[in-house]
Amino acid sequence: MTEQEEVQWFDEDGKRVDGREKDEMRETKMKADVIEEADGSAMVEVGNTRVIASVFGPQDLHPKHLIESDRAVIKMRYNMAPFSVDDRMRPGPNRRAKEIGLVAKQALTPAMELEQFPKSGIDISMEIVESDGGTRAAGITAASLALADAGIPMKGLVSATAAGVVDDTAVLDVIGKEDKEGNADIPIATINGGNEVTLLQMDGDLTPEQVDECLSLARKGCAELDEMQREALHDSLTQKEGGEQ
Amino acid sequence: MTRLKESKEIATPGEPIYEGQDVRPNSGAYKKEDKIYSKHFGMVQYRKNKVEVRPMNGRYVPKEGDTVIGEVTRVSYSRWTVDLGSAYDGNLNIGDATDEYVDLDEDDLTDYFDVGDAIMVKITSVSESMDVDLSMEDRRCKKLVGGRVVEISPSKVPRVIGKKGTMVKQIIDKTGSNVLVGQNGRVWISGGHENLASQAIKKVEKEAHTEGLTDRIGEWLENQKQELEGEQ
Repeated sequence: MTEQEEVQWFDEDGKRVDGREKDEMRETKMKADVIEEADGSAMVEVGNTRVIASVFGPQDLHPKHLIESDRAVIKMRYNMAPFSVDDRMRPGPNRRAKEIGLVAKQALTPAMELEQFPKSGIDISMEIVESDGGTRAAGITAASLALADAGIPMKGLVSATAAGVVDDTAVLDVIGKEDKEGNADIPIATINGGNEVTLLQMDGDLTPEQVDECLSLARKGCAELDEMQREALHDSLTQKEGGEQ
Repeated sequence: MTRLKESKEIATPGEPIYEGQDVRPNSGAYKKEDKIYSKHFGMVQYRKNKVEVRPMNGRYVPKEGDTVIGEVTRVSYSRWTVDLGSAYDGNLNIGDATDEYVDLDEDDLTDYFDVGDAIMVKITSVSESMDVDLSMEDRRCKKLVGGRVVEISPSKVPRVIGKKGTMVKQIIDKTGSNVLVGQNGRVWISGGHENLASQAIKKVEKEAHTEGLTDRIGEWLENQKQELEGEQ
């Protein structure tokens, strides 16, 4: 909420600042298998937010003291490129990146079968190429796609999106402006776009009714993303067939 | 009772593949309530009253009885450590490597295998904590001298070998190369048209999920060979 200048969040038709309906996702593109060297990789574009995720492993784990004798350990990296935001971002890990890496790991772990790879490590990296709100959600969506591409056994795909409140109205898939200047946002991740929620965060003030509204919007969004993830996996096969004769 | 996905169809993680009680999930699938779901992005395969999903990609996981191509990474007092292209290294003890008498204090183990050598070995046992024991006591096991090793996805190995070895036999016949395929996705090629053979193997990997591949690769090899001979 800004004091100095009132933003007009909705126009006469009830459309949002970027011309979307309240329950409409941004235009989303997904592509699996984008990096040759990685065991699995994926790129996800949600509007202007663009994330590339890669997976290496299961492989040797260093440092050795992190090793668990009965399961694989995930090492998660969330990194924003210096050019991903309007003012240059100082490169390197910071408090925020570490926190997002941790919650993203916790969002993906319940879907993965880590017991199949004792004593090993899986490196997941989410590289934010361009940021316009919802980077952690797009990152989780991309990482899950990359894990599937890497052949790691999973209960299901994890998809994530954020819902928020602007001008006391719940909206789906908030952009950077709505996130920063709106009332609140709630990122959420689900397994298979279903009832199992693996990530739920909240930032801002909102009423209990708005929380419910946001949740149902975000879950609908996750279900849509889940469909797109499956499509992207199938497409990664046909690309190969068509290429190089 | 209903097959939601047929054999050879592609499934994604968490996608239902079968509904009913009379089929059991095998590797790569799990059961929840009365549906069977896939764990992998891979190909569905029904076998009798079981269903499995074979992943399209993924690193090699050592399995007892597999013959694999490894690279020696360390020479210890009485054994070698061998990288298998997996998260887990293999151990080859001197007793399992040779029938000759070796005096550990006098003889140099690097005379047999040195760091960097490629060897074809058999996995004799894999413990629960993923300690992998290797042996050279198999007809196919040997040190691989010369040639080159190309890597493919381990899940594509059955395709490279083909039905009863037809694919690899065809590549050997048409390129004149010696080709050995390890279950861990490493393929050793030596002699003949090495480049052509490795290209053919990469091509099989890329098109592994398509039908009529053996014939197509056969044709492709013939064409490439004619081109090569035309140049000379």
